[in-house]
Amino acid sequence: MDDEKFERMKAEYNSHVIRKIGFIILCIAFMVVMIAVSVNIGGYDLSFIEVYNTIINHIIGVVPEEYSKEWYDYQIVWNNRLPRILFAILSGVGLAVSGATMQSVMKNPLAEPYTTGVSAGACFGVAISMVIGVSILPSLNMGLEAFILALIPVCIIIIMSPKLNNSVATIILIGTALTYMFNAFSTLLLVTTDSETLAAIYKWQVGSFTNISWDRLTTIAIFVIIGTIVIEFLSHKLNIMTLGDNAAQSLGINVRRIRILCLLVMALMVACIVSYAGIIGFVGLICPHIIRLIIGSDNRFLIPAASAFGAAFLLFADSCAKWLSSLDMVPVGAICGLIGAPLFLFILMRNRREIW
Amino acid sequence: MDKKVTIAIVAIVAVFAVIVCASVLMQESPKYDPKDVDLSNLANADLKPCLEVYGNVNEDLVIDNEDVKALEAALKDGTASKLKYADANFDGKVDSNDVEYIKKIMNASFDNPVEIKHIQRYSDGDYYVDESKGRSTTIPVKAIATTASANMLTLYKHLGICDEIKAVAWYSKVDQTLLSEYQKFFVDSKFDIEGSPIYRVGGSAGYFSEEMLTKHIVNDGITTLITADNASSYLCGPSKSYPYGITEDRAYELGLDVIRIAPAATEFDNFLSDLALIALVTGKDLSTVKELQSWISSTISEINDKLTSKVGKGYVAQKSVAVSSSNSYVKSSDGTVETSNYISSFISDYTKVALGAGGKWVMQDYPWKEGSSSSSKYTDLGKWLDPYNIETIIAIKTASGFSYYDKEATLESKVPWSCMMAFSDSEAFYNNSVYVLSGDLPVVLRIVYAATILYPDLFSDSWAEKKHISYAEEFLGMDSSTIKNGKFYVTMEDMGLKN
Repeated sequence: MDDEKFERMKAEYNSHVIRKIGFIILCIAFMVVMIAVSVNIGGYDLSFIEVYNTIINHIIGVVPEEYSKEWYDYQIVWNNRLPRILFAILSGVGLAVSGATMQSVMKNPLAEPYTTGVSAGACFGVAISMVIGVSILPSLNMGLEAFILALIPVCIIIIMSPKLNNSVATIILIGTALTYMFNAFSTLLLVTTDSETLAAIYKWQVGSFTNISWDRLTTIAIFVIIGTIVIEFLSHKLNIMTLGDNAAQSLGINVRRIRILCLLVMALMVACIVSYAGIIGFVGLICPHIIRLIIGSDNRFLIPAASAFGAAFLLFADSCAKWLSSLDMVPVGAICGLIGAPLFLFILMRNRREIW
Repeated sequence: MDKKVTIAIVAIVAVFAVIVCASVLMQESPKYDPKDVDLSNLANADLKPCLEVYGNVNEDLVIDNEDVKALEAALKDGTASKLKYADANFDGKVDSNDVEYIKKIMNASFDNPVEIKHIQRYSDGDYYVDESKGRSTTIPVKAIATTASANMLTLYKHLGICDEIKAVAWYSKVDQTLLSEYQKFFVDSKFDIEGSPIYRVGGSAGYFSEEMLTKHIVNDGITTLITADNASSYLCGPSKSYPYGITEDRAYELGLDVIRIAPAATEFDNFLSDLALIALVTGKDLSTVKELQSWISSTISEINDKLTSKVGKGYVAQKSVAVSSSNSYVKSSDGTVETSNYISSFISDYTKVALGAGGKWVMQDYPWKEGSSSSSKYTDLGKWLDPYNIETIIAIKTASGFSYYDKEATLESKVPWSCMMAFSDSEAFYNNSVYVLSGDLPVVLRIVYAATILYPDLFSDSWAEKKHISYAEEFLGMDSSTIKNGKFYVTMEDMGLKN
């Protein structure tokens, strides 16, 4: 290879990298715009200026008089809208990163965070809490039950997969079997309960960001931020693993260990999100695919781009849900599907690029 | 001649003897065994409601000069500490400051608001009053947010409270089953009618959207939130039935006083006490409460007297009864049936309506869930009811999508009634004794109609209608034609399900 060709390839590569970084910046910018828009949407009447005055006043330490108009503005903006927005961002990041990771680790375009049975486990946890009334820590409502039960399927996968040849197909099949099993447990509980509890569990299943407080945000922030950093550190290894288990092992990658680590990190992030916000579908499956169609499958770029896009997308969906019903009657999960599916089909038709 | 006279005398004696024997036999062998009769669950007619507010020293319905005099007298003779509601300023001791505080309560006005401490009525299935959870409310109240069950709105209507209600949490959009005066206000928050004084701030009766509630706190000056006593359904926060609602504590953080009352209680003392509390906080006239007390007392007495003198005394047998709170029955094209039904337990307000009307409770042996369960679900139609020999089933239904005040609409509404097929395997269904009773009726009228359903020989339809008209005219401002045009309980014949 002559120098000129090498330089040309290098320039081309750099240009690719710059374009990918540019796209990531674009996704982040989209997310920032969505934050700015979303904080202005809600049933409580606040002008654009009042919203930002409230935020600035809080930051510079101006304390409004209790029960004054400014105090209520502060309650809504600072204690209601901002935690909800940050929760949507963290959920979007967590679900999109988990989806991208699952697809890379499993080498399967249909893999998503819930393939491992996390959602079915969480749903069973909520059903136990609401139908039987068993609560590990009543003050946390059904969050802890959902979190613990969500982790059980993943733990079973981790324990069972070495005994069943460790292949990705095995992991997916175990996950599918566990999903059916936990769904069956939930169904058995649900058929014995009253209509109100049934409706409540259904509401939880479709997902919502209503009534998210700062204290709940701390937990999810810890899980999602640490999880995303870990996955990003592993992204280079995930790229190598896409060559196949044998090739990756010959290049010094402990495929089994990386896979288990990724599963564990993904499970912790998703279990935490699901236990607070319910099962928000679509984001973990489609957002990584949309990003793959635009910037390709290099996990080093895919992970941060998917996290920014997932956050912006979920924020956009939640803003639509808030705008459609100030009584929080529209579940964000439904909006995700309504917006995301046509968007994905559009990009798929337009790009016609093979990503798998 | 003598022979003819003798025959006539013998005949007369024989006829007389037959009549005497028959009447003796009827008396000696009553048709129904009184031992099987259980009327211990009739509603209490001897009503002694009490305004459960600290400062109501003489425990009547109002805080007035009588309380001042009573407390002054008790302070003199050293018995003040024994008075339950004497600590008006709730500082832990009863002294002359409490006398002054009572005067303050009496003179409370928007310029001189006063904080009162009152009993908060909590229930969690098995109804109890937890006095340790007393709450404070600043009176007078001029702007209220409330949950909007039919009974709650009826309670407001009794006191003439309308303008004070600025925001409601309600499940449906415009619901035909509610009182017409309120219907126009039930609009989706996105489609507020301009100038309409009441806005919907919650997606269900137990759930308040924090943003929408806060909006009306700021815009309308709402200071008080009134909700029902069932703390596991109303303002319960993100748990159990309503995972995303705000909690009672959050309502307090937003600066609201929260009052929990029992608008659907069959314990009429509680209902009237709560009515008096709402009258006090809104500054409304108490005369309605006293008139209602008298009306309810006389009506319940009339029902109880008739039941205790007739049921099981050779006139009518006591009917065993179960009450259903919710039903569904869906038959698919392949003939499979999916059904989901609830029978209310002994502690349910619904069951108490039927027992208050003289029904007999026969499900003592059923393994009801302990604690908070007020109903039990079954999915295998009516067969499981067989061991209990339930002769009558009354389904109390609200919000069926039409108004019971419109007879034609009620009779034409076949869809809501098909769910009664859920009882198709029960004895009551075979006897054509499954009924639907309007859940939108005030509780006392529910008992009136339930008595008519159970004992039509003792309580006629015209008697129930007369009672309803009297109540509606006196306490709801309705005219008789509104009631006459209604259909407040539905028979199996009405439903098109008669065997």
